[in-house]
Amino acid sequence: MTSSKKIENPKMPHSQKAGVTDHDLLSAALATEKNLDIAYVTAMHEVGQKMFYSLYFDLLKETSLLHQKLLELQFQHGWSSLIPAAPEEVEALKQEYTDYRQELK
Amino acid sequence: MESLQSLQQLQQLKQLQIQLQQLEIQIQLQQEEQKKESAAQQPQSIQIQEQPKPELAQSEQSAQSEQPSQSEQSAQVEQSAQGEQPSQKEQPAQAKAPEQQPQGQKSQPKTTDTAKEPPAYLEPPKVISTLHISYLQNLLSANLLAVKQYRQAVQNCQLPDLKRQFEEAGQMHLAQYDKLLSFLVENGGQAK
Repeated sequence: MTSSKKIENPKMPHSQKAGVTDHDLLSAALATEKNLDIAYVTAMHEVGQKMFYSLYFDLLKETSLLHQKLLELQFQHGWSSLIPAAPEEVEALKQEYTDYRQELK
Repeated sequence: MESLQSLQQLQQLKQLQIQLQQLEIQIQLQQEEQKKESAAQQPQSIQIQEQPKPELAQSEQSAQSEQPSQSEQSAQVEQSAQGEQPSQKEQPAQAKAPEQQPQGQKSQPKTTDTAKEPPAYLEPPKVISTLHISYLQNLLSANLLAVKQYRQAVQNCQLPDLKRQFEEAGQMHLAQYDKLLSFLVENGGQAK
């Protein structure tokens, strides 16, 4: 059972033009950053030299921070929303994994 | 009866001799492996080792199959038939054993060459490998495309905060592109 209350900002008025909108540009930017992150992670884990690993790790941090900023912008302009989980669901999950944790002791 | 038993004993002795020969070959190969340090020669030694192992398993199985049937008179006839089978197996084993010896002998002169080679690397050297080139190409292309994409987005975008963010993103990707390119220039093309 989930709450139906969405957490979102008021949406920007949708442009009637058929061309590329700001929303589309932001979506494209998000997709670009996501693909770059995946490419950096793959290269990072395939390379055996430390200097390349550290280079890719630094570049990955920059791109993932940028991705995070773009997600925030998307939320600010009302183009993305989130629905909070019901307290019962959270409590049930917490209880389940607390019990699993007891097994590891 | 006595002749049959003596024949069986002779066959067992022959099998033991073959096993001894194979063990000697294994010991020689292990000694050569200890001298070898380069990874290029190891797969050859591994292949040579794999050949005697199934033969040992076959000879052991034939020896084990013969031992429980010695007490029965009817099984003695089967043993003579079985004795032919391990003898047939002995022939390919003997044929493989001399083949292994020249291979071992061929590998022997290489041990002297390995002693002259430089020691193994403790960590990977700072060079760009052939595997790495494809990843670098992918990353450079992605960053180049991102820069062009953000430049076009800055021209087409209406919202000021998005415009500012796209400008920063374009500059960031251009800097990343330059970093990757400088690494390529510094560390590439060092194959000897």
